Amino acid sequence: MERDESAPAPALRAVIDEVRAEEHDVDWARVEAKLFDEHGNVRGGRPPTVRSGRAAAIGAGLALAAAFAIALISPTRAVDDSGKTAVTVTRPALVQDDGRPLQVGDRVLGGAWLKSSGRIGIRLEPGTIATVVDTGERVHLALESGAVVADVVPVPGGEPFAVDVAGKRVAVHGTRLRIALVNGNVEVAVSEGSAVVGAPRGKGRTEGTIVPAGNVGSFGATSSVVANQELASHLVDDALTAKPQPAPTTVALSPAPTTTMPVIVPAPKHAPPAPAPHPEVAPPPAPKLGLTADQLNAPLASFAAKIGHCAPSVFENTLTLDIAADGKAELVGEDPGLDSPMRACVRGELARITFPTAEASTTVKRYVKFTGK
Amino acid sequence: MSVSTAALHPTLPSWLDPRAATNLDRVATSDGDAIRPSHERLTPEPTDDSAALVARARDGDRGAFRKLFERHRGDVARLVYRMVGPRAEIEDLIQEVFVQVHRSLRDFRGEARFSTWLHRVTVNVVLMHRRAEKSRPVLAEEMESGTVEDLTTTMPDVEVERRKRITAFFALIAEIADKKRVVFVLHDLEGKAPSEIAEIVEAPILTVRTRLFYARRELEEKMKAHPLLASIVEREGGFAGVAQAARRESK
Repeated sequence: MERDESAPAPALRAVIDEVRAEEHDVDWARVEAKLFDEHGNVRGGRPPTVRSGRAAAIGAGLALAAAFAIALISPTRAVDDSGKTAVTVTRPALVQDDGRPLQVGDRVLGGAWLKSSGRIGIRLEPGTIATVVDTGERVHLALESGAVVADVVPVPGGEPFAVDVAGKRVAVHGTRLRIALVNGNVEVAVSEGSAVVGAPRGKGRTEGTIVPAGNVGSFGATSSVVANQELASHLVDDALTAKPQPAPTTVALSPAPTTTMPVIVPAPKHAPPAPAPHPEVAPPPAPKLGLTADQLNAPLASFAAKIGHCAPSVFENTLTLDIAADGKAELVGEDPGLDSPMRACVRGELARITFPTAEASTTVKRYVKFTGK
Repeated sequence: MSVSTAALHPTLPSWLDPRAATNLDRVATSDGDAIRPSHERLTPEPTDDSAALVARARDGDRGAFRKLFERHRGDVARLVYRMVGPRAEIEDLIQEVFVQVHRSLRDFRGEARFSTWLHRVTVNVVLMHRRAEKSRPVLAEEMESGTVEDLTTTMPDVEVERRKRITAFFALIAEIADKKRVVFVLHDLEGKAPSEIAEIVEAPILTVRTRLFYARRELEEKMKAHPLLASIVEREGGFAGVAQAARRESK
């Protein structure tokens, strides 16, 4: 029989109806916080301007000509009569909290708060030394010591912020994270969005290990990424909500900075940034970390082997375990849900497993296959 | 000389004939829920009010832009969700849409309804995101991270099955070409009329219908081959015909 093609076929229609009925919850408070700044301006948006008719055409033409002339004379900087450096912003600028701009090669010390056109906010924790590598579409810092905490407005498919540290590049898709150099290891805590840790690749897209929201990663001789929402939120969100420091952090740096906070050592003219000295910097407090993947593997494998009999037949599942700092584990999630006898059996076997102790609790998801009784 | 599309393309159904200019719209009216369900209609477009808000926002009135955001954010969120499925980056995409709207307000000349223009911006942002995403390798950790919330939730079996079907269907939608997918989402999921879709995608109405036809056919083929969705095809009697289903319902 010929089908009436003006409506979907019943089978397709059935699925369409299910999809139509599906609602997706959106955290509007979070969207608004990302979209609007504290003054109600749209982050990353150009302020609309009013132009009309012929005046608009003339205005646009004059503006274009002026911009072209400025670009010809000095694409990035111009020096006025007083000898002070004036900055012509021809691309998104990275500025300090008081509005003073930074340029490539500037070294920034702990206590500074930086921002870029309302799209990125960066806090350098006390004891931090970083060099500005790029202030363009991708704000790029090189971290020599300490930690930076950043709130980055995501750009779909982009890497608006990156930090090179200890031979690795941490590329940020957004939105809130902390990057620290601790005892030669790179620690990345992400409270919102995600970051990628990989090898530096010039201006290209960074490829490597993804640290998603609610995870803390450690990258050194060995690498691990552990889910720990509480710790990630503590490290990132608390630092971002902290008030700016009243005075610069004391850093033994030659020449000693004498300007008021934030402290910046300008880049030398016509020369690449000097290699970083080794200042006597008190290392930032090490974050409390949960168990590493290496520590988890053995007890989880033992647990998976022991629960095989908990299901009457072959059955696949993903279990979520919450492992407290003292090593006691609790079953907190199942997908799909288990019936009561199976759950009791799994909990019984879990109670017999000993996990190592850690500084913080760890949440881990584990795919298991019940082999049946 | 005028030749109907059906004559040029024997495989195309008669409703693609350009002479049947409002064929789908008539079906929508007579079939009600099939094409444009009443509960799915967008917020009634207060044209004058939105136009005034747009004008004020263009003048730099932050309050006006926030009102536009509050009024239309639900529509944007729903369209983004239906275009990308249950993904972690939906909120980022919504934010990006409104950033683009703010940047482009001066380009909105009021020739189309604001909601139509907003849908066009939304579609473009999502497509740009997908293109950028395609150029980036998807790592195992990233694939797993998208299911974090689901894994910690215990749901009844029926609900689990429904979620799995929806996720599977979104995966099928993602497999079809951008142009066809956009038309399918706007028409069959959003309930928009072909004339408005034509404005959104800036294509002739006939092209919209052609894309819809092929999108549905492609999805039907994929459903037949999908382990989770094939049972629905079986239950509904395959894709043999709407008329058969109608007869079953009447019985």
